[in-house]
Amino acid sequence: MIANNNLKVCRTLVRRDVRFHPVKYILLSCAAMLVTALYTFVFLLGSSVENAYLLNYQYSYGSTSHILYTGLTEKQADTLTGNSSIKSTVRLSTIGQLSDPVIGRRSIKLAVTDRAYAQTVLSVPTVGTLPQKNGEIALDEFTMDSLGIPHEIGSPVSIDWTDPKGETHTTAFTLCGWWASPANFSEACAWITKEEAKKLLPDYDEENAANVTLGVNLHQPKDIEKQAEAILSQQGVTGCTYTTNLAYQDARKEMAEHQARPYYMPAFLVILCGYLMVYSIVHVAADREHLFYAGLKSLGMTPRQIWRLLLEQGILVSALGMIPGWALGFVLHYFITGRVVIGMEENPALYFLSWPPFAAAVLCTMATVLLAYFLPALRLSRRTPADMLNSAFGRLPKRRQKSDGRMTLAQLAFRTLGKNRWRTLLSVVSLLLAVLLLNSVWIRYISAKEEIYLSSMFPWDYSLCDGSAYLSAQQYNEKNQGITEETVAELKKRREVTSVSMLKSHEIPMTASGTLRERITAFYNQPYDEKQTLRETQAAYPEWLNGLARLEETGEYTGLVVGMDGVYLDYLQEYSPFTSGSFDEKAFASGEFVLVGGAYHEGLSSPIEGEEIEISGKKFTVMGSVMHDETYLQGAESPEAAFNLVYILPIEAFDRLFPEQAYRQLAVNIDKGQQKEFEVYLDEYEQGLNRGVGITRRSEYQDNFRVARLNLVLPDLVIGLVLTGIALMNFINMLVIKTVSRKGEFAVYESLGMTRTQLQKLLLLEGIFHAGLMLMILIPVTTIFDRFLMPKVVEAAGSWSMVYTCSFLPLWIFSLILGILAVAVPLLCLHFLTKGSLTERMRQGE
Amino acid sequence: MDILTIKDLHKTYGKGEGAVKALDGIDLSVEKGKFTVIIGASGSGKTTLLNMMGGLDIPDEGEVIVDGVNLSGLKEKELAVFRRNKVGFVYQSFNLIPTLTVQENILFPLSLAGSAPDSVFFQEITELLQLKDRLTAYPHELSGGGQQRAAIARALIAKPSILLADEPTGNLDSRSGQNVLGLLKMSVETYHQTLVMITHNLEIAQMADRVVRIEDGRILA
Repeated sequence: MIANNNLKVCRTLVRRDVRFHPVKYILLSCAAMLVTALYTFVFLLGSSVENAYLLNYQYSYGSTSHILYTGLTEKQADTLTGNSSIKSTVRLSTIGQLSDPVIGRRSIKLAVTDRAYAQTVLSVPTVGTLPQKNGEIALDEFTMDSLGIPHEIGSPVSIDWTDPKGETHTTAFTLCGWWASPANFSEACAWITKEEAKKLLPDYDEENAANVTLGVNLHQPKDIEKQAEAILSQQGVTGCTYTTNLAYQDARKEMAEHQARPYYMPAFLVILCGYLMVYSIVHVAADREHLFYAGLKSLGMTPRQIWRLLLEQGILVSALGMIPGWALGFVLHYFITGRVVIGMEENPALYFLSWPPFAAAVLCTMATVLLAYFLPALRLSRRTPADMLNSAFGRLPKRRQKSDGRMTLAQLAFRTLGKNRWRTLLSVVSLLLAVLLLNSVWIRYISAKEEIYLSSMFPWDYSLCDGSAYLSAQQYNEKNQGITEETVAELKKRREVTSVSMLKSHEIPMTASGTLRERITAFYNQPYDEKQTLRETQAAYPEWLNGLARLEETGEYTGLVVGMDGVYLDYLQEYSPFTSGSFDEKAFASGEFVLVGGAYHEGLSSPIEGEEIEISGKKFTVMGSVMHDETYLQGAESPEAAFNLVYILPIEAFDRLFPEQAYRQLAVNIDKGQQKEFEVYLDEYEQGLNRGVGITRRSEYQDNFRVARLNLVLPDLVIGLVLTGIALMNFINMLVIKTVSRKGEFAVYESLGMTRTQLQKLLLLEGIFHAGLMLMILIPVTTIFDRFLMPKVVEAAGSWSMVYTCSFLPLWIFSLILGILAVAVPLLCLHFLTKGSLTERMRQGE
Repeated sequence: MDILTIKDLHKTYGKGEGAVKALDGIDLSVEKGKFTVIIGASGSGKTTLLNMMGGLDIPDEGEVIVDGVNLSGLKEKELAVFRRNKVGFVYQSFNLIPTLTVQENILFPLSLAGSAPDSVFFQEITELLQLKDRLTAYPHELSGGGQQRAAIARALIAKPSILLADEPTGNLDSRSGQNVLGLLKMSVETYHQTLVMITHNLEIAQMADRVVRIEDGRILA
């Protein structure tokens, strides 16, 4: 038989349903709004994190261009620019490379000023201007600090540079501007005028001079490796090299996606809590409307029509919640993403804003809402009208208890636990999920230990270092006088300061005895594992290998003499295990002994206890040798000292040997109660400086740690709080429905002689039983979860600063809230239910 | 001897133009041990009058005295205790508690009072009302007639001064209705109960000791 499925009638019924049940639709729209908001927030956060990683790759690459072609002539650059897949280009002409050894591992190009190019490599001066006159130069702050150039416009700048032919020049300039940039850690430009370039290297812009770098932006930044190749072959350009922007490489995109994945994961929780939320409302509505649906079915409505009816309701609900959901999701994103993505001048919530997360959010909301409609729709469409009518009167426990027939209030209250079992189960499940999620968030949060992190990452409160030693890529410039004696004296005088520890270093050429040479050679030739020796593990560091080879062949090596006191010595003792001898504070202070730092590996790789060493003409006895953990030393050593042995002396003994040597770094500890005052002083000190001094605050690490710790749990926390809200709403809803739906029943009780006090006591007991039932499930499951699963979760996080710490705080808070709600909600309902006469209430109950 | 006395009873529902006078100066007395039927058209005020008798509703004016207790002066708690001890209700829609078994439903008024049931009396009425085999059933497992018989047992269990029945056969088919009515009448006679019943059924009215006709809130005869 052909069913006549008039589906238009479904729309009419939906419209009427909205008109006659506005509260239900308001509730459903609010639920859809919340679900849309959560999806929007999660997707916006995930996409911001993903884009932030890509931006970071872009910073690492040092340019916003998609492709950089280098070693081009002007003509080749013109030819490439003509390719149709290129959207825009910028050009850079270099005349050479800065070659001062103190520049360290950074690569600085001496280049002709081009504002457009400078913008793509984030190298436009923030103080002063780009060069406008001959003899002017603009530099980045790291280069200035490495060269020891004062932070003052007009400062003289002497640059050692090498031209493309390999000839070295020294040229004097005047500083006209500088900038600090997140993209200039390993590469930077030193800008000069075109005329100055012509003066320094007259043939730099000749037709055949292959010194042009072309930054290319493509119309479609996909498969940029292939496009880079294709552009060269299409234009017939050869003999140049190119690099592609890391941020647009497929592998990096995949990596960014992978790194941002944890931030998208809460979407699964949103599905779950969204489903629970919408389902609980739909389920109640469907339950209450069984009579209505039974009527429709008895009138001949087909299952398809019922499906269509509920489908249209679901779509309508999703649509109603869409725009407010987007708005709420954006608000959450605006306030939270800025805390997750840090280190940007712009607000990341706006910087990375795009439309796809909004579209994805609304699609997911629709899917979640329809999923929630699915089960009631399935149930309704499969049941016969008679079955639906029967179910409208509810089911009761089958088990019959043997009793004398008399009831106490407690027994009567206990019976109601069995009513609306499905709703009770839904409430238990949502509460359980919320408690488990919040407990997981809380345990992960408290397991991340600030003290462990700080003591390892930043063992003192403040560090001041010479400007040439701020980055690990910078080579410490021993000639710099960034930190002066006045600074040290002033710091020591400050009442907030409890200690100032000093560290100086100086590289000196040394010669190893035959015994030492043999010992070091044997040490590095020992097997590291089955495949390689210790020496072979350093294959990626040619300068280090050259240094070791020099020692083996000639006995010559570079000794890094370090003078230190205070917390530096403490740190050394804590993190550098002794391989021979031990530390004797008194003997060390005498200045006759030296500690020697060798490789951070078991075994003897340096002079050992009792041996004698001559440093700058003075003999010292080796007090002991250590596996030297050099992470406390800021900046890098010179290439000659890539392989070195470290000789540690008291600062006074160091000063006697090298009286002119300035401070490399200071460690300052303060009274924590006076941190504010000290930071104000430091800010003033930093602003008043005309030279590079790198200041690192423990509080920055502390803040970073706290932000990172919060970020670790923030997406789950937001979802957890929403899920908690939903779970509590479900619980309240369950209590309200169980109470309100029995208005008539309560009137009957009263008509049979139940006093109001008895009725209140009955509801109080029901509330206590409900809370007890919830807790009977929540407490053991949460205990098992916290005790057995969470240690593994914390361990799987793989963070050395995390130590599993058990806590049930969210559970106890939950228990308290449940207890209060379980008692207060039914009694509050009763207050409204007992208004009016018994007869009216009994009539309404029917 | 009158077990129930009503004097100049007035009750109005609503206010202003929408106000409905449900009772308009009712005076009535009911003799102990008699079966009184109240008849009248829909909306005549008969259910309101019954509710006033049972202390389920409060009159605007007038007095209701049941077994010597004047309901006008009673507080809410006292009214609840009065209903528990002095009145037995039988409703058209049974009003059994769905979560309790038949036995628990019957004993519920005693449970509320915390009093021990008279087991002999319980045996008697459950036997009389043909409920002996269905004591452990839940109300929804019984037929309409069965449910109403359980409601009658519940109304009788506390041995109230007066039994009030509001169209007890209204929800039953004629055969069940006859059966229930017969049992109700038999119970009343057996235990010398006073029964006041509302009905539309003139056949039932003919079985009563006294028929009270009510129209527009006033007693006609």
